[in-house]
Amino acid sequence: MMKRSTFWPSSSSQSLMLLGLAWRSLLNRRTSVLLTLLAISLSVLLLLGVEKVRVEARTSFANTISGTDLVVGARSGQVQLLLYSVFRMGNATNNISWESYQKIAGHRQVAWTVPIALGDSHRGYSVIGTNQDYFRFYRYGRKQPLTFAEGKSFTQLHDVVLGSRVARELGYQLGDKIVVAHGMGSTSFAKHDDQPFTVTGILSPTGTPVDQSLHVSLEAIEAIHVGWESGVKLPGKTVTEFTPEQLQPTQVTAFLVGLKSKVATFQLQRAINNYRGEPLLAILPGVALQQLWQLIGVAEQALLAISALVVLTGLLGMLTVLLSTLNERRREMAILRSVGARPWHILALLMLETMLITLVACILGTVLMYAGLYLAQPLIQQQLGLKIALGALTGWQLQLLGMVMLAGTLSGLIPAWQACRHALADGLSVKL
Amino acid sequence: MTAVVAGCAVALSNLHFGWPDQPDLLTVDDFQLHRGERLFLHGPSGSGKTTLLNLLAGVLTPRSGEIQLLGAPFSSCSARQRDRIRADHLGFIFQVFNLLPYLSLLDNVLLPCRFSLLRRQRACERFGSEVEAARYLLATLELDHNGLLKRPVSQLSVGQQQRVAAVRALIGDPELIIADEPTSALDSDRRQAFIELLTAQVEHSQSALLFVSHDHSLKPYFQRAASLPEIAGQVG
Repeated sequence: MMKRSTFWPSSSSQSLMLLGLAWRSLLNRRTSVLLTLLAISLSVLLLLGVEKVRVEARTSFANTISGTDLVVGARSGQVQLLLYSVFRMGNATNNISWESYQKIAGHRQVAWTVPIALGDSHRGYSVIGTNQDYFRFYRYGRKQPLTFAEGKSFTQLHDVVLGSRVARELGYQLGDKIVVAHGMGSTSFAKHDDQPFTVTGILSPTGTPVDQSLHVSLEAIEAIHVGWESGVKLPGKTVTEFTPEQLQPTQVTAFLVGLKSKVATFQLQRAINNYRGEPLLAILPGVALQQLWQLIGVAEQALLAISALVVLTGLLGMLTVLLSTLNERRREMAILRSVGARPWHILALLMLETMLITLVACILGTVLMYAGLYLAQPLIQQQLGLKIALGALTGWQLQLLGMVMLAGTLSGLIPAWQACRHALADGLSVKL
Repeated sequence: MTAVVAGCAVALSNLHFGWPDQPDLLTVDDFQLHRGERLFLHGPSGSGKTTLLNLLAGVLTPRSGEIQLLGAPFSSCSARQRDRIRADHLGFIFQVFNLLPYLSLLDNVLLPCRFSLLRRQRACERFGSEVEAARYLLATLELDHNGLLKRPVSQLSVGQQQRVAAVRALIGDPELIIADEPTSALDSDRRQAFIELLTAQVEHSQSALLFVSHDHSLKPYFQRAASLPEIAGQVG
């Protein structure tokens, strides 16, 4: 019964005993220890959080388009083609003629194509001319198809389907009338205001540029440009009736290609790149995405470097606290020496303290990260369309935690060595 | 000169100590403390008492000469061996601040048994377990009521703290107890009670006691009294 009232197990090894002592000593100084713990936990939280966001951003980036074997556009650079066709950034240098598009779409290896006609916008968001195949074949993430949150695809000439973010940001609902502007930019003076569009569908969020796009039919793109043959609207000319010839698409900006068999990918890519009718470029989206990511990889590294510095600051804070309290603890060390503790016991005691602080901080930081993600998840999904999965820690995150542990333990060597030296110099009688 | 060391708890011969590149601070030609003997050592401040205690504790090493503890050539041992001898065979009581504030009374008392297997074994042999040993000793020094055992040591009075320190020095029957002015923080009634309990217990466990103090009124409790300037030829 008496044994219960003592904290050390009766047959404990010395390291367990020292651990108990270190723990008791830390509890005795809980205020400064808690502050140190908090500082390191927050830096661990930041390190893991940045890493998580980095991985998620990368995944989300790679998930922008999937299931598409080739992207075809006018000949330029592969990153540029990817940027304008998939990310809706920048402009195409040239268009592809309808004949060339039809010819490639009719190739025996081609299963489907999705045409994309760019060049118009609505309050800064791209307007894409396409056809029903866009909603049938476009895939993102893990080959997920586009789905409608509300309404349905365009059926009439002046119908428009909105990406989720466009609808949310601009507050549009089904049945609203909107006007498309000529060219890109959030404020445009050349508007197709004679031909307003009606919202017939709103897509579910995807976390890809699709959310920031407006979709109309290829024919609608032709229709709003009737009378714009010179590049600007002819004054006083308002068209309400169109002939079938007027609505026949003459060109597209780019198109996505799905193949019957992946084996044919390179063969078709080469055929398109050597196409004699006009200069074309076919790219593999995965390869181009990889290349693009490498471009922005520098920012990624910088982010990680900053969070590593934050961790370093946290550990330095711990070191400062430990070193500054060491003087007050000389009596404690002298008592321990007088009851038989060897110098290595003192060394181990101080090392164990820093290890305990770092370990608890790592655990706390990880818990905080998951709690933060859990709470922020709906907000991130709503604001950025980024769906962050609460998965287990990745190998690299575990490695980062291991590095923090190692750095924490090593930084414990400094106060431990100091304490050891004090303990030897002070002897057994420190009079305070 | 060192012929009788076998029966000695402490034997010093031709001992010289000084800091590097400085003259000798303390010299002792010949000094012996027998096993089981209780010695009252007095001397003015600065006469080298703390230096002597640190030499006996093994945290300082003499420039020349020999210190024998319990028949072992203590001064020529390695630092490691001195640490071990201290842990196994020496108990210390200081003037104040003897206890770790974050441990309970009982855990403070049990500390020597954590660092010395020998003292743990001795405590277990005599009392069945180290906790029983602690309990017995606490009872002899009137510290056994249960409420006290679980109280944080910071809530104990100074007199109680010094008695806990005494129990800690005594647990596991070390052959030599070194007390460095342990009564100086106590008032005279408590001083009397403390010294009676301590000497009785030391006699019971057959430990030698080296008691350093200014307070000559305590002399009658000891078999022998010596002044440090007497045993040490002071230099400087």
